[in-house]
Amino acid sequence: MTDLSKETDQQQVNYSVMDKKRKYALLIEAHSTDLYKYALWLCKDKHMAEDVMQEAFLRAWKSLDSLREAKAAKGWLFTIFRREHARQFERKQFKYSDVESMDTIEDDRHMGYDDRPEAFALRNALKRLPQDYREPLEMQVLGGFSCDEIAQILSISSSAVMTRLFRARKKMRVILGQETAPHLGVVGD
Amino acid sequence: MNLVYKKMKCLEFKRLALSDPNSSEHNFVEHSANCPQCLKYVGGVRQMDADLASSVDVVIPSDLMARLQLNQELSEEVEYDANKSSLSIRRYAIAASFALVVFVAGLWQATNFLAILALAKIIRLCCQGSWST
Repeated sequence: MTDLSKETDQQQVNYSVMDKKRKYALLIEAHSTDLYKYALWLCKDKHMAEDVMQEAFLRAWKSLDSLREAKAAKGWLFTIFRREHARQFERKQFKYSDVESMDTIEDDRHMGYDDRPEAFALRNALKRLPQDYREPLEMQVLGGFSCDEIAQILSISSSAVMTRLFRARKKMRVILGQETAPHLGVVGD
Repeated sequence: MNLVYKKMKCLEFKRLALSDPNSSEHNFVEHSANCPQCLKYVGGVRQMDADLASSVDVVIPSDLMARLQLNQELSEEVEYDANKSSLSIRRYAIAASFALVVFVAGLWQATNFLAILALAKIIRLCCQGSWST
């Protein structure tokens, strides 16, 4: 682990007194991996994910002075990213529908995803969720956000987030057709 | 009665487990410690989350972080150039304003000087006229 990530992990960084460049370097070091994962999942296209991410980080750089607490950094960055994604999505909607129509294991492998059928089934189950349910689940599972943080990012109440998460997981289990999800051997092996 | 109470608690637990399986709420933690069935249930939910996270796991392109840094440097340069050019424009504006002030002041002085000269001439003419009469 690098010094930068150690510094960020401590979550005790005082961003208000930190040099802007240092703050930006910390943001990249700490959150770019999670954000890229989220970006690729949303965009379903490597190049677009990278474009949106670069634009989002550039916007983050321009308004970096407004970020005071390290704890808020991830939520703040994800909010910027989501706005940028929405902007780009409006522009490239046609390309999107083309990409969405040809989701296969081969495409997923090309994007760098786990190509096992179990993983593919899970991804498909997530895709089949209605957007209102899918969004908070993606943020909780992919982004590691708490219910309160998701509520803040989506501008809805915490209880609404909890309800959506409950329904999302319920629906996921129904789609997967089993009480327990397919085992990939990630936890507890 | 006790059984009904326990069942209700388990339903409530499962509801919370599906909303926030990693909740640190005291009741949630306590219940999972005392109810093996619910512990198994929340374990399954956590497993599904972990599998889901793992299924969308990708490696970030090695050059992307460098590009993010480079973009920032370039943006900073553009910002610097824009500031520099706006500063030079401001300097020119100040110099032009100063020149204008000097010109107006000079004009005003010159006008005043001419007026004084005219007044002096009138006085002199008046004096000459009174002496001659």
